[in-house]
Amino acid sequence: MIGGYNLFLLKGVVVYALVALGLNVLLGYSGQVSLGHAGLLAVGAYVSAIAADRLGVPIVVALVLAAVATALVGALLAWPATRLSGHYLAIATLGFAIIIQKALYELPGLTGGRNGLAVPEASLLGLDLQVAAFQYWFALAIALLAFGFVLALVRSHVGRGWVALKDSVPAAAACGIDVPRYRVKAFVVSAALTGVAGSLFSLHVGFLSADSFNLELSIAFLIAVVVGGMGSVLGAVLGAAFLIAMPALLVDEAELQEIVYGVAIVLVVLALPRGLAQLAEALPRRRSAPTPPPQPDADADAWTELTRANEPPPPALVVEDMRIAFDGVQALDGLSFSVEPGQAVGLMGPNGAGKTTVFNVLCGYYRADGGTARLGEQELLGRAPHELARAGLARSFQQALLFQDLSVRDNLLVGAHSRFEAGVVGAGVRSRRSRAEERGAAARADAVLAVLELGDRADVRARELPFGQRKLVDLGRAVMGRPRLLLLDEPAAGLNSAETARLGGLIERIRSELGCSVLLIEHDTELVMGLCSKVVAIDFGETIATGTPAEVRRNPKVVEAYLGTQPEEMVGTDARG
Amino acid sequence: MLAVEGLSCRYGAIEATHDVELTVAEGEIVTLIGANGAGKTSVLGAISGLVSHTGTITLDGEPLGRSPARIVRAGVVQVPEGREVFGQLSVEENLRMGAYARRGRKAIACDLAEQLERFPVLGERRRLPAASLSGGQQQMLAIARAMLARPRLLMLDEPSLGLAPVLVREIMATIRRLNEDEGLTVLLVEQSVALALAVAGRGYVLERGRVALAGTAVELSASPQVRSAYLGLGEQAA
Repeated sequence: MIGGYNLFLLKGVVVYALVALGLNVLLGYSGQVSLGHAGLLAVGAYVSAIAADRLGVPIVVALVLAAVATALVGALLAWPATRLSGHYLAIATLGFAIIIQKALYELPGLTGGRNGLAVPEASLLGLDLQVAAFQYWFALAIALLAFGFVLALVRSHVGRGWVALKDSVPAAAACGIDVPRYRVKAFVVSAALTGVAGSLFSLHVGFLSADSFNLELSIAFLIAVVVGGMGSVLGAVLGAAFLIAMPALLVDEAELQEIVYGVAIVLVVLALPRGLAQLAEALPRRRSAPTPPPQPDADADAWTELTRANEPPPPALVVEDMRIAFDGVQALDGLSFSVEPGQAVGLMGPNGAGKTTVFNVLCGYYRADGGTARLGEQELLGRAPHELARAGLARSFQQALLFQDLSVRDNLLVGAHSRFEAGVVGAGVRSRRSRAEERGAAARADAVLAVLELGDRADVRARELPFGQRKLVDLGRAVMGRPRLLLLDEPAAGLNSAETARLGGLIERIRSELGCSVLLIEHDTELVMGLCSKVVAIDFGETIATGTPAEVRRNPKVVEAYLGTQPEEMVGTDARG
Repeated sequence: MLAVEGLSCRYGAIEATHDVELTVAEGEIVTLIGANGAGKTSVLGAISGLVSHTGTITLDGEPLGRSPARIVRAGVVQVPEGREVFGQLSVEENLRMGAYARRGRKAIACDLAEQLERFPVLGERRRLPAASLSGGQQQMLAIARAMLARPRLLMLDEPSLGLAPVLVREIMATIRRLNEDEGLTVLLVEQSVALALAVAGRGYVLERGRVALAGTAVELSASPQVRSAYLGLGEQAA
């Protein structure tokens, strides 16, 4: 039986693993750096100890109070995160930790100030938690619950949302993710976990001293996350074990100890870029079952569920007098056009004419200087991208902004984000609704992959795909939210003529079966001619021609600005790019 | 000039190309065509030393090596897919980056002036950040930047990507001019197979990482396989 010192170390691993887990949610998943987690740990530890001491509440209540209080502080700390990111955010959290430590010193009536605070004795169900073994099992039980919660959370739409916004903010917003709110959610979850850890920490050490909650401790937690493995729940445990074990190994050789510790960090980071958790990837995997063969019936059902055969036609888009200027350059100069319900409209024009700017204004990335854009009864301009995604807008990106770290299937699932209703807690405890939503979305993703003929790439990471397939995944992701208006930015770029012809059929199928209108930016004239019943040609932010594809193609202005003066000189008719 | 033998590239468990063999002779324009994921970009990456690979790549009979910097100095220069200009640097700074591996201020200044003359639109914008250029202008900048490295073999990866038809023709005309007037050897990857075969003298068709077909541009244009799979011309049109 483990006892004495080793048991003390094990308790430490459990507590630190919880902090590393909390920090991993923030750093590994949502991509936000915190140098303030020692401050959050202090809030949890002191709230728990003070509540037990002054209010005499049982340890479980103190633990919940610590979690809630720390989560609230985390929400406060997250406020700068809605406007800051990267190094600036790290510095802001560092300032927070300094303030917390200062407050601990300056409130001696509450915290004991420089004299520290003795943590009152606690018991649970008649078991004395001063006994190290009981304390260990209690901490372990709480930690297992927390790990289960986080594991379910990061595999749900919430976790995918965090990874998505880390990879590409514009694409995450286009999928309906409220990016600032999601950043705050990550902070709150991270803080609550750290608060729980704080409560256990107070039991573990028995005496709280403000000195211990310093910058060094915050950095130690960062080391645990990075060494253990960012974005890995297992990594949190391995990182915490590393943090505790390294100094304990050479406890009698103080100087050697620090050198070995430092060298070990450098070696792990160099040899294992994904942390110690990478070692676990090498273990033989026990696959639950070979991937079931695709079931055409199930796919067909899920596809039908996506389509709107029996619903009213999509609303019309009417854009009037849209204007926007950048640094004095008038990018859109009173642009007006419309897309009738269910129509496919091509938006053509030279490079730099303002086509993508139209998409960026419609989708809420740029604020127009004037004009209106109505989708049915709704005004689109002036709303945030994620709201517009919920209002029925979906877009693809010229550069196919996929979430590089996610698999192809997960990219599609993020596309369905606006259709998830379960909250953080529901997702973490795998509520009935959350499970049903996940199942439904997964079935629809498989159906869309089957239609795109990408079924065999479902588990490939997006970064490993060639450009043309990325564009297809981007299209599939846009479809997952059941859009009423689909904005496609050069979907055929990077495809050859035969692939483009297939893509044309695909877009036509999506438009007719999904019941959405399509606005298409595309340089492949043949594709535009084949798909669109109307073409709007723009140059210098103004409409230069509107009409059927054949009319616009013959328009002298279009020929001069876009097609070039002698179209018949082109090689064949393949005027694509 | 360039000879590639037994080239295989792997990304983890996935083999992107398998036993690819191709040659490019001095003064030729050779095109690599194939579907998405066929391995075209991997071949260019392997030649540039950016993608790890097995097999031999020689330039004038000498092994090309695996150091990207040395490969550029040897005269093999790539214009990457998606242009990859340095957005925050000015047009002129981008061009100077192209000459990074070279010495000789005067010669560089001379080449810089020549490129600005060849692409007047870059001359007009030489002080502006490259990110402010339109897609077509960025493509010209990427080509001009590569030219400043004084390439003997220029490799272009999808130069027509995202460009309006009028610009696609301009870029293709530029490639042809560089080849005809300056004797520049070109290896061209291009999704627009019709354009590629119109500009190139010879071509290779890659399928699933292997060379499936090779021949002159005229032969490939006439091949039923190429016509149906890449030119999108069905049997009824053939």
